[in-house]
Amino acid sequence: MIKLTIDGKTVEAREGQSVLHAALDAGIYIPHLCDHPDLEAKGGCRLCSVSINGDAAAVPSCTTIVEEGMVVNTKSEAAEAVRRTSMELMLATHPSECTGCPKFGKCELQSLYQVMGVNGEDWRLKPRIVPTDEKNPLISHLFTRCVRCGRCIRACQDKRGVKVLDYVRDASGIHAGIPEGKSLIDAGCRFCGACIEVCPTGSIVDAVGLMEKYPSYADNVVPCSAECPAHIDIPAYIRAIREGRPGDAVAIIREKVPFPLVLGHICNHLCETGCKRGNINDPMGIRNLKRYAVEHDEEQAWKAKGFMKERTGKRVAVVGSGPCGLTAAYYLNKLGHDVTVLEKRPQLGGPMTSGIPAYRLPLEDVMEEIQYILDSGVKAEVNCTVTDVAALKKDYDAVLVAVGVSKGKKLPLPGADFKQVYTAMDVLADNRANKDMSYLGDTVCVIGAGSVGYDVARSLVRKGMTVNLACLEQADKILADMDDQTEGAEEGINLLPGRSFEAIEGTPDKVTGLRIHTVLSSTYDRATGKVTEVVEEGSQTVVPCDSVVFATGQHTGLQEFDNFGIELNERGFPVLDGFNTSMDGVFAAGDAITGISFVIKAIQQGRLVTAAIDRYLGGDGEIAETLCERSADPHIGRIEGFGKLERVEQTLRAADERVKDELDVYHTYSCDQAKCEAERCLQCDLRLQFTPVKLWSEYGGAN
Amino acid sequence: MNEKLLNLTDKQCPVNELMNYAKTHKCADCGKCVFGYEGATQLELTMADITMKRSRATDMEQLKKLCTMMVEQSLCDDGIELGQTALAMLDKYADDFAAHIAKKSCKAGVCKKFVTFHILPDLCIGCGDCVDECEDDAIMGKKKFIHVIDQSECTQCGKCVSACDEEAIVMAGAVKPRGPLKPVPCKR
Ligand code: SF4
Ligand code: SF4
Ligand code: SF4
Ligand code: SF4
Ligand code: SF4
Repeated sequence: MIKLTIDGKTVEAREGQSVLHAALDAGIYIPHLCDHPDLEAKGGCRLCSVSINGDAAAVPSCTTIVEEGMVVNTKSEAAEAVRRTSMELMLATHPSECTGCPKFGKCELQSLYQVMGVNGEDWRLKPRIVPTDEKNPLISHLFTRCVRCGRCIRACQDKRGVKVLDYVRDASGIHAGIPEGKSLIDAGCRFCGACIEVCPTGSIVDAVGLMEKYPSYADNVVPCSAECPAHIDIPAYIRAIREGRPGDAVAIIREKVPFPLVLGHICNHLCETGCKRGNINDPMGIRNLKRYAVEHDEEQAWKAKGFMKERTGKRVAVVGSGPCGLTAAYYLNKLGHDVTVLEKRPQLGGPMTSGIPAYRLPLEDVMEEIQYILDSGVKAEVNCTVTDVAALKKDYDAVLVAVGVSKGKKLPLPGADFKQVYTAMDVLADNRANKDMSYLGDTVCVIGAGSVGYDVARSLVRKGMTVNLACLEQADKILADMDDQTEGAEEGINLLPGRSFEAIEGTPDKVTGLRIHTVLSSTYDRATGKVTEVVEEGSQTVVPCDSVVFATGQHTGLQEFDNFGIELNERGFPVLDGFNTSMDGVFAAGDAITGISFVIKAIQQGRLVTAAIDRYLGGDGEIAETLCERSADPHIGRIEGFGKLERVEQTLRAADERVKDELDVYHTYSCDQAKCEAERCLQCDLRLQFTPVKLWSEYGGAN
Repeated sequence: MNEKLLNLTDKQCPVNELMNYAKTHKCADCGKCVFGYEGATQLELTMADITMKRSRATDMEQLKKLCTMMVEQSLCDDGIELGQTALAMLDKYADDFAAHIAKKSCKAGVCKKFVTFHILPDLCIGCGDCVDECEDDAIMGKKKFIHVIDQSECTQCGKCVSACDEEAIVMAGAVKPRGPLKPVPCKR
């Protein structure tokens, strides 16, 4: 440690530290602008001028290294004069109005001139007008506001090694910019955002609207993780894959979810809708990379990590073994509670094993992840239907109702009670259980073209049946995701969009067809639940079929029990206060409270309700864990053509091949494909490595 | 320091020279430090204003302080050199700067705003061609009278010079030709 005196105060500093940072660390504020804590100091702005040992000339404190016994005066007449003049000179060529500037209120320059009480009006004024450039993806350039501090240039060149930004000259003078008037993509920008992060003024900023979506700064910077319901650390796991560490990637994913492989197959990937790479060309293949990582995780090192708390002796029953129930069971067990999962079907997994078909989610992949949960100490009973939760509660300290929405709903059409009219839930369960499905006949009409409707239709195509898939939505408004739609069409599903349903034709013992008509448009009134249709005249027709399957919504089925024990609302969902039901110690979560949703949302519900139950049982509800230490090299270097790298898709098996079996329709990425895809990531999280720069006011204004 | 700028000829105006020097200096093409780059900018802008009769009373004092700081605070030798050169010029050619600022004259006749136009009484034949040419109606006179330019109206456009076939209209720097203040009858 080195001792020196700053403004009469004895200060300790590290050897080699600058006088500026020694002072700032000691709570003594010295104005500064071109200095950034993570970049090499240059001494260009001179706002940090101080006098050393009574010398007449002021020197910049950012490039002056501390020495034993040094006496620093930050407020000498010479230092103040230099500081004021420098600020005045900068302001003389800076726009005179801050209002309307994107950095207003967060700008280091604005904060500095306000605290210094300085303006440029004693000098010749000359705004240097540079046209605003908003043509680049993600980043806006407003170099009229550039003060040439060089921070962005040092960040881009030295810190990142990308070397896109430099000083450039145009008719207005010198400012930071892209030489030769190139676009960011053509200049090789990696869109890492370092330049935005370090620019003290409103010259390099996030494109309009990018930073307003979430309340948290970090979420806006890394929107993929923000969009993921479980907030998986996506950039970190993509980085691990790129660097050839799939095991680390799995560990990172497992910090948030116990079903990485299931998600790698079927997650609805909300993350990808948020991904910033999508603003350049196509979003990252985040889900596909997850699958790749799990399938290449040889060592499974994560198994040895993570917390396992002392046994508490508390007993918890989890009713339902879908993704929510099993996730809660997994974490509750880790928190030390004895957990028993009660499943009404013969197999654990809920929709993962009795709904979603094998061509999307292979059974052995689900079972492997469930097995790990059982191996970790969770007990389970199958073929066990809970009809009375009050009775169950007597044997347990807490009960979680995570029964999902496993009962299908039919539309109230004439003939809906005929023998060959089924719900998607029943058909999918039989399909998953490899039952003989010839009871459906040769030709089937499936009503409802959401994800579930497609699961039914595509499964039945694989049984050699002729499948009509009809829905009220017009073709461009179909709810299922695009992959289902295009792959289903290739597989020969006869889609009938924009249809309304009149009746099921035939007799109670023999369905002969589905009577429908075409609607040109329809509107749904949320408040009344009423649908208004514009009908195409003379479009009524009967689609001949041997059976009809409704994929038109699901409910919990709880109201079918005489006295389940907790209060339900008119739609059969538990009445709730947070996750608490009407009965003390009985909680509910997952689809059973949200209505039909996606596996990742159910998993997150499982995590959240775990915390609530643990707190109820006297714990702290803390389930955060680190299964892989992070490290990220800020020096990302250049990759030729980075902005134009195309998204790598998994190989889709040919339609005539895949309809012949129940096997996964996709081949997982090869190592090369995965690395290529991972390389496209912008590593948006790297920006957060920068030390946040404090404005003067954040130093407490003590000086 | 740039020695050439301290050895100017009669035909060179120090204000104009310093303006051009600052404008084309390395610092104006660099931007890496405030005192070098913005210093060069202020030197150029202030010199330009002085040549345009837009000087301020505080200019000399302010520039001396600025140049001293440029010498002390510039990041590299270029800014230091510019500060030193400017300081030396402000000192050596103090009279010229003062003349521009106070008396508003440019001895070398370089600064357009400071030159004046005059009609030589010995050569004027009182034809009145110049009157037609002057858009600002700054020329007084009638047929057979020696014409006179009203300096308070003249904008120094110089168009009248070529309008006079007798070559009686001339441009003047610090030394002004003598002549009547009002039109008087021609002697010839
Ligand atoms: S960059 Fe800062 S100082 Fe300049 S206009 Fe914007 S807020 Fe004001
Ligand atoms: S986003 Fe990164 S690579 Fe692109 S200009 Fe900014 S610092 Fe350089
Ligand atoms: S763009 Fe911003 S960071 Fe870059 S030199 Fe200009 S003010 Fe500094
Ligand atoms: S580019 Fe990478 S870090 Fe950025 S949002 Fe997309 S996946 Fe996340
Ligand atoms: S003094 Fe040097 S660093 Fe500063 S502007 Fe001039 S040439 Fe650039």
